[in-house]
Amino acid sequence: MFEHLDDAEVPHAGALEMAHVLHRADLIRTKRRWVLVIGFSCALLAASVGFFVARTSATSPTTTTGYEFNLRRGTLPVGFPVPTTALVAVQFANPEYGFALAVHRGAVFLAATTDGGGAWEVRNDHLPSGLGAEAGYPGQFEFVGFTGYLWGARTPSAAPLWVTHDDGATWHKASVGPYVVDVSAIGLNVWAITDTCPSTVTADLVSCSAAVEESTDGGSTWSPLSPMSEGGTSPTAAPPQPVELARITATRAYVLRMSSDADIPFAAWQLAFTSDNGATWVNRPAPCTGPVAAGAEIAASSSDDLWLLCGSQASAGFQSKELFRSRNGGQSWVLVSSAGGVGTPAPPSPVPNAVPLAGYVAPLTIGHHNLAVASPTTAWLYPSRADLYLTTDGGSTWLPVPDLTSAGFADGGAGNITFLDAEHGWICEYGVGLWHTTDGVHWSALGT
Amino acid sequence: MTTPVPRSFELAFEGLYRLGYRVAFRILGDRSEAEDVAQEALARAFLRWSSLHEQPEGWVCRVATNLSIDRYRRRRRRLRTPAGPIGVLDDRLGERTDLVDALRSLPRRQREVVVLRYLADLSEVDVAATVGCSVGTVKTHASRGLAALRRQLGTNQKDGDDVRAS
Repeated sequence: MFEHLDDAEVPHAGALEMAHVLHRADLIRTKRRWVLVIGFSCALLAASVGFFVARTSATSPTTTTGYEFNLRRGTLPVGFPVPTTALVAVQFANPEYGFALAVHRGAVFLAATTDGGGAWEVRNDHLPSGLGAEAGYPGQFEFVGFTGYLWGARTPSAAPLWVTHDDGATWHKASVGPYVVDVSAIGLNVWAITDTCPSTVTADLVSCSAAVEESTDGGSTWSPLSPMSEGGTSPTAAPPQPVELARITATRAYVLRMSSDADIPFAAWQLAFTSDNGATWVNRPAPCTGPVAAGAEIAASSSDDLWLLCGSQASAGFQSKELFRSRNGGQSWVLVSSAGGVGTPAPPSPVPNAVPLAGYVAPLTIGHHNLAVASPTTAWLYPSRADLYLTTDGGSTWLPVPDLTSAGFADGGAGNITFLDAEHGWICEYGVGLWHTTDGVHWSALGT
Repeated sequence: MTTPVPRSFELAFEGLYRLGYRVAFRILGDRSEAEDVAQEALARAFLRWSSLHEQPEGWVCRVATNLSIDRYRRRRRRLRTPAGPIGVLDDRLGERTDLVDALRSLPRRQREVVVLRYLADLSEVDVAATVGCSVGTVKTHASRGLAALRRQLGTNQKDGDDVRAS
């Protein structure tokens, strides 16, 4: 039916056409072989590149990116490079040697650096259970030389305190507790604040009792110090108690703790002081009362120079704050700066560069490492979810540190600030990075 | 390096070549292009001859038809390009264009049967053996395909009549 579309001249189909067909078949066959060879070569090349890239990143701490780190599944091997964005809290034993709690796929592990924080690697990804990932809140840690302490378990079944004597490679349970809410070590002399309740910001009314225990052998054996309550009448009925231990010397220490009084609507803070290695304790007034009694942090530049930062209930990243100073070991306090407006009346006229309203203080932070006092005049404040602020006039005025913003620091994160001395400091912001200063003034980013 | 030519391929070569050429020429209307298509279809058939040699006609027709339609579409794009050559003078050009468009619009099985039955002029028995179905099924597909072609080509002629639109 389509004959009218035919060629009037029927083509010849002889030897010449056969030769053309066979030649064309050879060309097709050759082309297919080349496609196979090229495809196989590309696959081989891609596999080789992938292999060497993976190998290189596993051996060079400086080439791992957060993306590669997050892609990695399973337990991290010792020595595996860690990006600074994975660090949650850092601590340094000297300008080069430091440790950090870091997070990988929701689990907490221990990282270490030997170059001042530029390169980090995994030290231990088998931290004791009950510490780290629970409730999205990492435990707290402290290192003195090769000896480290790890605490903050929120489950009754987990050991409250773990100790390492080999740089974090292995950890041992310490027979102290039942809960440990803060630890401070000076050499092999270690104090731990223990409680019958876990440290938490919830305020369930249960019977809790805090005490101080001491170890003189780096955490191996423990014995209780004298009770902090006057007259030794502990335990007392109280809500869960955020507690901070500030040891000025081996024998002088302050314990800042929250207690409750059924007659007042707000919690009140108590400051217990000892100057004889915990043999006797004296209660001193803590000015964090009323609306600004929701949080508090204490720091010291010397045995008698105390800084106490009080905070109100928090709201949308803001918290009213009052900063008090004491030059006589807490016997009397002077308000040096305040920021109101969240749960407290706003000041009639804003005070320029007062202590910042933005950000939270402990216990709404990771630990209580947000206030670092370098001297009677100089201190750094890193409220959780806010910027880093510096005062050089004893706390009256505070200014954001401009170097940090230009170095990539972003306000709004969580982390910690730590200083070895007035010049060497680090600020860690989880998910963003790590920065340091070596002169106490200028800051720069570290690592990847 | 040339692979030895199987005896059965040698024997079938002439008939398959003419078959492929006829199908290609009916679509393309160009002798050199039709020869090129026939050679390409035969070369591909040669490379897989071990699996084709019992029923090669249908396979060659399908390949020749597909190659021809592809070439026709490429050629049409070239002709639409103002800078391209317009050297083809074919008084059946409009009819071939309609035919290609109509074939492309058919379902795969109908198109296969129509091509084998009416472009390659195979018998219904041969088409059934090639496609792997019964003669009745071939008739059904051929009838429906032809009706679709008629609608596409704008004719109302009866089954078996010429479907020329022009």
